[in-house]
Amino acid sequence: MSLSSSLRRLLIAGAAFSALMSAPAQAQGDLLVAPTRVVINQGGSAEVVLSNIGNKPATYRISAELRRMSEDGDFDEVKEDDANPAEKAALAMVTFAPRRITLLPGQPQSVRIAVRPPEGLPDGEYRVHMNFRAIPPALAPEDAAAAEASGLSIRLVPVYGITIPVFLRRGRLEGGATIANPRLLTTSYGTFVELDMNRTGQRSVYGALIGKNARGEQLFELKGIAIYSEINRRKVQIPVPAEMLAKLSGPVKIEYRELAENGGALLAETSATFP
Amino acid sequence: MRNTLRLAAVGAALAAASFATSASAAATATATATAEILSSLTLTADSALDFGLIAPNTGGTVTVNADNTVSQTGALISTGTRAPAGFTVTGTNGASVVVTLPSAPVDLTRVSGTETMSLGGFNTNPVGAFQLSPTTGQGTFSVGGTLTVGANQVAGVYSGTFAVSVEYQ
Repeated sequence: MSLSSSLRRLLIAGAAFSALMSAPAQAQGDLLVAPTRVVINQGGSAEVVLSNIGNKPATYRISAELRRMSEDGDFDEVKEDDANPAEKAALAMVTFAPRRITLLPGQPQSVRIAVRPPEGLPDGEYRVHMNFRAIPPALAPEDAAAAEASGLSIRLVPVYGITIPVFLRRGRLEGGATIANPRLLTTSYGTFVELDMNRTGQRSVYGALIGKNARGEQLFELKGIAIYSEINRRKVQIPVPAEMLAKLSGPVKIEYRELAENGGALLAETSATFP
Repeated sequence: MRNTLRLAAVGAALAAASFATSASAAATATATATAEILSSLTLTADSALDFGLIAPNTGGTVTVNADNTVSQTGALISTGTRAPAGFTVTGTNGASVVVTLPSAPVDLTRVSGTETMSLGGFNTNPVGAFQLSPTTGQGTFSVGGTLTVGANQVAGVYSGTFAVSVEYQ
């Protein structure tokens, strides 16, 4: 009894494994977006490249959406009806074209994004998130025919895409940060240094979190960490590579730095000794 | 000045994206020497979210979680290959990315019919933000969910879509 049930489980696992291995990649709709972040000061325009990196022609839709960052660093989608005045203003001043592109495999195209702040717009940072996603192909005729067969089968198509933030900064805005309370956290995904980040000023901050030991040796680095202007604090978890765990003993200096291409300025630092 | 830089950066990115010869890409890059070119993000789908075969009986739910665990409730019979959807992200080495999924259930509709089933409880593995590899800039994640099947759900192919986006901060 128990033997047969475990045998059955093995068979199912084996079937799942072979199906995974033999399933062709769903390459329709694969995409590349560059750059991954756009900052426009006072007003103007920028171009973002979208490229079809799949092996079939695909049609992509481009849209401007709203997101809010939560204190654990995740994003919450904001429907237009729930938008606050600053978010509505951000959506209203962003224009982009084209909104729909069909691309052959390997073919890139640039999308122009323009931001025109209206008269009397209060100083501040405004943000929308540009979403690039493939429109799924229509159901193939042979699949529709299969629908006549008996039984229940499910055809799920992920509509997958990439979202990048577009910022408009209006006026002279300052942004600063502090980092505090570094602590070790072990989960099923590995060991992390978790810390609290605080933001000051009228705009978001963006950079990398870097940990070094007393000899200046780099122990961990997490790039692309922002604190958006709608929150004043967030938590972040920095993965510590397994080979660096032994080196965590002794004082560790943690820095929050702008990315090198933005000047690399030190935004905040703290030090910690992990037990 | 700023516009020139941006246009040039786009030119270089275009060249790189279209797999133009390295010579022409390099020429554009050296002419402008801007660092904006480095950041690109790609997303590819590797495998589909699969609920296998279902005999509805008096209905119930089938859950395929992103961490590969499978469970079911009710009297339905669920067999065959059940697997979460898999995706690969490539971007800047060591960068943090966030995956967002639908917060509300989506409907699947029977092809050439009006009957629906609901798919909800979307989850990802890893959960929340994760780091792209510090050496390759690559990361993978999977997506799972829960399918709710009605009693005597009409047989057929049910089709629907769900949105997955990878967000850069």
